[in-house]
Amino acid sequence: MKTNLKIGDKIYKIEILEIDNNIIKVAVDDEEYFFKQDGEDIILLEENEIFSLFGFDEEEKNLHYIGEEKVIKAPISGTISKVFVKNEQKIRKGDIISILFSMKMENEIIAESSGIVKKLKIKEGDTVNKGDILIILE
Amino acid sequence: MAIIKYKKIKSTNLKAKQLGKNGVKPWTVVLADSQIGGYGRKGERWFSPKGGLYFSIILPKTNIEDAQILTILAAFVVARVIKENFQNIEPLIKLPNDVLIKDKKVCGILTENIIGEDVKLSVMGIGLNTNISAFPKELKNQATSIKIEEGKNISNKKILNQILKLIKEYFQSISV
Repeated sequence: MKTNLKIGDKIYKIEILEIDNNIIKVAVDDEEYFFKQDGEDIILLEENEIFSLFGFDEEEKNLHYIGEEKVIKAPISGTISKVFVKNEQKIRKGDIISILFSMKMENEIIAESSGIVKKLKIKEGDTVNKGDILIILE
Repeated sequence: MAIIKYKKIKSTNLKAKQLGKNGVKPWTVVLADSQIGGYGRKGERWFSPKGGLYFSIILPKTNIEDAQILTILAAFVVARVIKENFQNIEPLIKLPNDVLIKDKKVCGILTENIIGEDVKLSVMGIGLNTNISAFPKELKNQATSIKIEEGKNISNKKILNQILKLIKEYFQSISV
């Protein structure tokens, strides 16, 4: 769900997205907050809790902060219906990475830069959210 | 709108994507008398013998939300055109992008986007069962055609022009 919320003179872009495991993501402009339902309580997750819930290991957690790695991110949320690349494959700008089924449309996700696939983080059937890393390139 | 017509083609969506990637201008339409590899969502085969109406529109550059809205509107357009031309037929829209007659599919719409950091290209394909006399056994209970429902052949050209006109009008209204 997306909407705009006006508070005083400022308008905030709000997006609420339900993710698996009773997790809700609330994005306010560019800031993301994750909440978990715990019984009748809604709890704001701390950063290390977010990493452990989504299965990041220590190495990947560090990668999250590294700006120099080239990554291909999901431009929209959806389900991966096909993957066309594999680890250590050389890809060029414009190559199709995957087909992402979203909003009842078929979406070809293409690479915007060239490189070698260092880590492929998706497989067919995966659900991804906008901004999720699909591929790490070197 | 420029219409590029083929007697037989693998898929109008495939051709439209190829042309779009090569810079063919928006609102160009790829039309085919028949398709040998027509497909719907998830690559499912779309039965495309001669007689039906199969075409794909290279859409102007847009955002993904507008592409989705237009896909849904296209279903309404097709239903409206059917209703206005054939008063005995009661089309039903099965959101987001199917049109049915008496619970059988008469039209499917597939929008495909090519996305990098933004939407590079959007192509909307429409398969409308117009002048199809019969369907294979596996589709008999799921699909119908306007010819079967009306009992006579209809003009693909007339229906196509009406659909294209309305889709373009709706696109211009949502893109303001």
